[in-house]
Amino acid sequence: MSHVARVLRQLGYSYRGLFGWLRPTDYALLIFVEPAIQLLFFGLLGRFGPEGAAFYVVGNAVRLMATGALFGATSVIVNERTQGTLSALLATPTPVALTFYGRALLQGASGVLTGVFLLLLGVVVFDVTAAAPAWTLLALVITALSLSGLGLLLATMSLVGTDANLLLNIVFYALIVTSGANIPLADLPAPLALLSQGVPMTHGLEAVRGALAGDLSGVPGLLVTEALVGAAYALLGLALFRFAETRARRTGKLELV
Amino acid sequence: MILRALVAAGRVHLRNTLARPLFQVMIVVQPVAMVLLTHYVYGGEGAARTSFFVVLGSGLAGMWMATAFSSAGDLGRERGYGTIQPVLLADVPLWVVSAGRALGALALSVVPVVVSVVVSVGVLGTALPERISVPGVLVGVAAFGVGCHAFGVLLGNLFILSRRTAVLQNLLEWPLLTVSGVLFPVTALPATVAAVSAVLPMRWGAETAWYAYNDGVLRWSSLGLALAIAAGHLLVAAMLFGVVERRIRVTASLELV
Repeated sequence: MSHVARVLRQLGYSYRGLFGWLRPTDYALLIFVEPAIQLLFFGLLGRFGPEGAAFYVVGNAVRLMATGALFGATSVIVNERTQGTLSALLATPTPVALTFYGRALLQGASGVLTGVFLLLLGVVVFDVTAAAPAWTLLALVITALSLSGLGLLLATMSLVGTDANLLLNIVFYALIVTSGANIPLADLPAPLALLSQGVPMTHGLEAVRGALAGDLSGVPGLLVTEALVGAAYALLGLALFRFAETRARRTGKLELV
Repeated sequence: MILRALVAAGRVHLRNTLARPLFQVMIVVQPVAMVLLTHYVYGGEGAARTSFFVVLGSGLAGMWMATAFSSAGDLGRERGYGTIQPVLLADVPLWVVSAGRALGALALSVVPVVVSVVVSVGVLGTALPERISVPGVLVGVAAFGVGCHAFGVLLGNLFILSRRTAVLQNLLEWPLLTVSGVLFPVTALPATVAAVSAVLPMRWGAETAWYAYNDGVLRWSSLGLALAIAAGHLLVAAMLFGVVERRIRVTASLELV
C-alpha cells in the first residue's frame, strides 16, 4: 500500500472513530440539523436587519461551515487525549503534525457538506439566489481548506491548554461578530475590521457572496487571498504543534499539558 | 430537609459553575456578542419598540443559556464526575437536587442581563423608552428567570435518560431562543411555531418584560401565564422524576442510561 493510501486510510479511520460517525444520528445532528436550526434563527433575525434576510443566511451558512470545520478539527484531536491514544500516536515514526493537519483538512472537507446544505436551505426557505453555483462551490472549498490551518492552530492550543471548549466558544462568538457574517466589515469598529482581514473565512465569505450574486469580478482575487491567509495559519499551526510535540518529548509530558 | 437539600444543591452548583473557566468567560462574552449583533440589526439608536431586544433581549438570551441550558446538563455532568449514584441514593428526591441546582443557575443568570444593560446603554448609548417601568421590567425578567428555571428542571429530567446530553443541549439552545421572543418578536415566526412557543413560560416572561419596557405597564395576563406554565412544568418535572427514579431502581441502571 502506498504512503498516500495509508495516510488516507488513517484519516478515514480517525474521522469515523472520533467524530460521531459511529452514531449516525449524532453525526447528522452535528453536520446538518443543528447548523440548520441556527441558520433559521439568523435568517429570521435578519428580516429585521438593514441588509435583509439573505445577507444573514449566506453569512451564517459560511460561518456555520467554518464553525463545524474548526470545532471538528479541535474535537477530533482533543479526543485522542481523552481516549488515551495521544501518547501512542506521538510515539509513531510518522510526523504527528502532518497527521493532525490531515485530520483538520478532512474536517474542512466535511464542513463543505454543511455549507452546501445550508446554502441550499437558504435558497429554498429564504429565496437566496445562486447565480454562479460552480464558483460558489469553489469558494466554499477554498474557504474550508483555508480554515483547516486555523483548525490545526486551535487544536494545538487546546492541547497545550486544558479547556478546549472555552477556546472554541470564544471563537464561535468572535466569528458571529467579526467575520462579516452578520455585520458588514465596513460597519465594524476599525480595529475589529482590521483584525477580520487576517482571519480565515473573511475573504472566502466575500467571495461566496460575490459568486451567489453573479458578480465574479473580484472573486478570484478574494480566493487567492483566502488561500494565502489559510496557508499562513497552517504554517503557524504546524510550527506550534512541532514545538508542543518537541516540548512534550523533552519534558515527558506526552499529554502535552 | 427539602429546603436544606435545595440550598445545598444550589450552593454546589454555584461553586462548580464558578470554578469552570468556560462559564466565567461565556457569561460575559455571550451577552456582549448578542448586544453587538442586535445593536446592528435593530439600528442601534433605540428605534421604536425594538431597543428591548438590544438592551434586555441579549441578556435574557444569556439568562436562558445560563439557566435552562446549564442546569439541564448538570445531572449529565454528575454522571461524568461519577457522583450520580450517591445523588440518587440520597434521602431527598432527585427532583429536589435538580431544582436546587437550577436555583443556583438562576442566581448566576442575572449576570448576563446586567452585562447586556451596561454594554448597550452605558457603552453603545442605546436610548431607553420614555415610558419604561423599571419595577415592571424587573418583574418580567424575574418571571422569565422562573420560566427558565422550571424549563431547565424539566429538561434536566429528560436529559438524564440520555448519554447524549451535550448533543441535545446544543440542539435545543437555538430553537428555544428563537421561540422565546427575546431577540425578535414571536409574531415573526410561522403561526404553527408561534403556537408551540405558547407552552414555554419564557415566552410569557419575555412578553411581560417587553410591555413593561416599552409601555410601562405590568401585563398581568402575560405574567400569570408565565408563572402558571412554569408551575405546570415544575409539577410535570416532579412527577417525571419519580418515574425515572423508579425505572432506575427497577432496572438497576444507576448510571441512568
